[in-house]
Amino acid sequence: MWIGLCRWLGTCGWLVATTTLVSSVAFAAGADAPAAPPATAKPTKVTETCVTEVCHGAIVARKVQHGPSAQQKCLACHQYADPLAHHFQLVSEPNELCRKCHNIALRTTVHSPVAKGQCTGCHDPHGSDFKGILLADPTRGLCVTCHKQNFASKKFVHGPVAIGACILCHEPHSSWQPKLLTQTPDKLCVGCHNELVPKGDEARHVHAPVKDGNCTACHDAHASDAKYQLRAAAPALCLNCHKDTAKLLASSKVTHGAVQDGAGCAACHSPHFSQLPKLQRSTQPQECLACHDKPLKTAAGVTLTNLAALLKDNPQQHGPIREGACTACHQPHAAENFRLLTSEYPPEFYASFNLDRYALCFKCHIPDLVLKQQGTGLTRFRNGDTNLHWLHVNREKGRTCRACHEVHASKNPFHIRDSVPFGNAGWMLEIAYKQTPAGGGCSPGCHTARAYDRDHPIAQPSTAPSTKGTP
Amino acid sequence: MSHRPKNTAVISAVTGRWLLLSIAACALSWSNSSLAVTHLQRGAEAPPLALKDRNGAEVTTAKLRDHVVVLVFGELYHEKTQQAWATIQSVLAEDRWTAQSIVTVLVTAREPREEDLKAFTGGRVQPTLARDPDRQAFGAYRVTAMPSIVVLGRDGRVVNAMAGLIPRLGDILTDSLLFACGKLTAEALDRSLKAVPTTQASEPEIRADRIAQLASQLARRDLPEMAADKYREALALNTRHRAAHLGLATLLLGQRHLSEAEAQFRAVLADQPDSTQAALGLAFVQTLRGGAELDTAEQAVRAVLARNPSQARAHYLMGLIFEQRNKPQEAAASFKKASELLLDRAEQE
Repeated sequence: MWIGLCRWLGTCGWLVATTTLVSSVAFAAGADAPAAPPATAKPTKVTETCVTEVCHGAIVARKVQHGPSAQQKCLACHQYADPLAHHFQLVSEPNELCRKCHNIALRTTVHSPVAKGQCTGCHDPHGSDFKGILLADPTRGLCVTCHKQNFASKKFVHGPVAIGACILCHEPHSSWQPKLLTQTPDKLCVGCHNELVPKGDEARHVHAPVKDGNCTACHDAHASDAKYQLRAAAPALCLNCHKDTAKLLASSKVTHGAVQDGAGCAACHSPHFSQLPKLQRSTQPQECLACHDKPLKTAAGVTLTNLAALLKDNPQQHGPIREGACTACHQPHAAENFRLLTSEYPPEFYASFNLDRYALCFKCHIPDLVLKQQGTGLTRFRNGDTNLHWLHVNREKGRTCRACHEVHASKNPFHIRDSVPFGNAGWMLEIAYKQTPAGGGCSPGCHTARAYDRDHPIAQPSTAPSTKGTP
Repeated sequence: MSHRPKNTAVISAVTGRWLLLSIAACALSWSNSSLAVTHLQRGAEAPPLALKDRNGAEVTTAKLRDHVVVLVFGELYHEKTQQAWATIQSVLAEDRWTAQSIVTVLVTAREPREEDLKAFTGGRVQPTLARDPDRQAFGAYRVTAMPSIVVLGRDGRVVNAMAGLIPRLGDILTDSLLFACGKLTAEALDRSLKAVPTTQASEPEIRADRIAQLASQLARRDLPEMAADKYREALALNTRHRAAHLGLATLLLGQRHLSEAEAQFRAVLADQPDSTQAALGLAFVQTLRGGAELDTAEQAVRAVLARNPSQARAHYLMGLIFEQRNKPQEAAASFKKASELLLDRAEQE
């Protein structure tokens, strides 16, 4: 029994001894509940045993007993103070007694009762019905006797907390870690949550708190009212640290619905790690198409196209889509421009040209594409070396890029549109673009059929654009 | 790091032949229907360059041979080029490139101003600035958007061509450079370019894993009843959870619930017939039962030792079997071997 008990006590045995001591003080004072005072007269001299049926018998009736109790060696901890009065005292001071046998080295963080020598705060010095001669079931009530947090009232409770297994994360006596943690924070959580250890390319981009092992930056270790025991729901939680995004969201005219709806930030970002930058869950455009695979209504009531279907049906796609960079044109969180565009772009069909109004396109496209009248290295939309982009755009009633190009995709080369809108009655004029080996041509309602050839320029009627609006 | 400081020439004389070649390539490229710089395929000979740097030194593909080249098409004033350059700088600042000979070349049409250059590089890695006033090189590489980035290998062949606006620029550039330096296989580069997500376990599988881990912690903390409950909970979510079967079997074995333990070990063996842990666990059950099952146990333990003679637990089990067979000397030898192996392992750890 003694050996078994010691096995359980392990490194913390001295506590039990201390417990014995403190409790023995009460015992000496006649307040020892398990060992009720006998009805018969108290002995006034040293007796063979203290645990007879009529005296302190209840002490050895417990399921788990302290070694000296089990061996009925009461004098290991108690000594007579006044034999005639049957008064006892502990053999040493309370904070020394347990340590005489259970001498464990204390680590840097010490549980308060241990530091104060109050072993009997948790242990019964004689015996109990629980392992470690604890005063109560360690999984049902011992810790919460002092630590009165009402975790059960929270919606989401950590597994070990829910089953009362505090000792899975906390040492009962002392620890090298703060909060008496059993491991360093970076190792403790992944001891169970090992799927949160990035493997291979997943380790390419790791969220800073994960890298630092600071799981509790986002999660409450015990319980919370947010899923995954988050300290708050996203996006509020994320915006606590990501102040720039918070500022952007608060100040912008247009906000991405995904930020506020459903899973919030976690809809697009993996909270722990990712093989993609910005902790994206998947590559663009797939990431975006996870939601934009159906018509979506904006807060302003505008219906957005089902982009997944559009891209499926239209193989000639704009470069950023082909390259997986929707964010080249659209802000993922919030923006000042319609459709979350990253820069200004005229929403109307006709717009006089200047670089600022077309800033979006010329973030990537070389401005000379429309600024220079001639040049072979600029564009393939040339008749000889006459730049036909320049010709179309640099007019008082200049065509926006959208006039000829679909912004996302079309079935025609260079994602040229099938048709252009005419008037407000929903009329559409076909462009009928045809590509040739060295050029192409179209026959839209905008003008008569025209063709161009880079190698052998085709004579055109004079339609020199005005330079108004040209920077 | 062997980036060329400022515009130090890696290049010598440009010849008329190169110029002609460049123009020819440019003209040829226009006739191809592919669009941007990304038409350049890995392994293809890079379109020739015939440019000059700010000091008049020639920048040609021939002169760039034997170097890994990061060729950037853009402009110093251009915001996206500046952003891409910051990413390139941050990639190239890593120690891993110290022993490599990597040259960066920025091809611009406009004459760079000194203050622009200073602001652009921020005093860090400075590219060789190659002027392309007529955009002949832009045309040859079919640069339709800025910035565009092409990584060339030491053999002058294309490693990867990419738009500079992609969110993964840093990662893809890193992997392209690793490939160019012979530190990444073509397959690994392909995987990286596609960014195929790691196969994720299903939610119940992940949950089962967590609960099994919790159970093992409970068992470690000598809370066997709770641990057994949790192992069972994990197995309810994932009936093939090996660690849960083994953990539960070990607990049951400790409580001498031999039949239940046997069932758990057999469940693992059904899924993974060569599981040493399950084989030895089952052999332990059979050894405890003794009698006719001792032969089966011995056979299993010997099979494990044939695969791995350093299996301490197998030697220990052999000791138990010898003990039951009343062969104390053999038993002692097996126990000794087991303890020696354990001590060796402890020392190694």
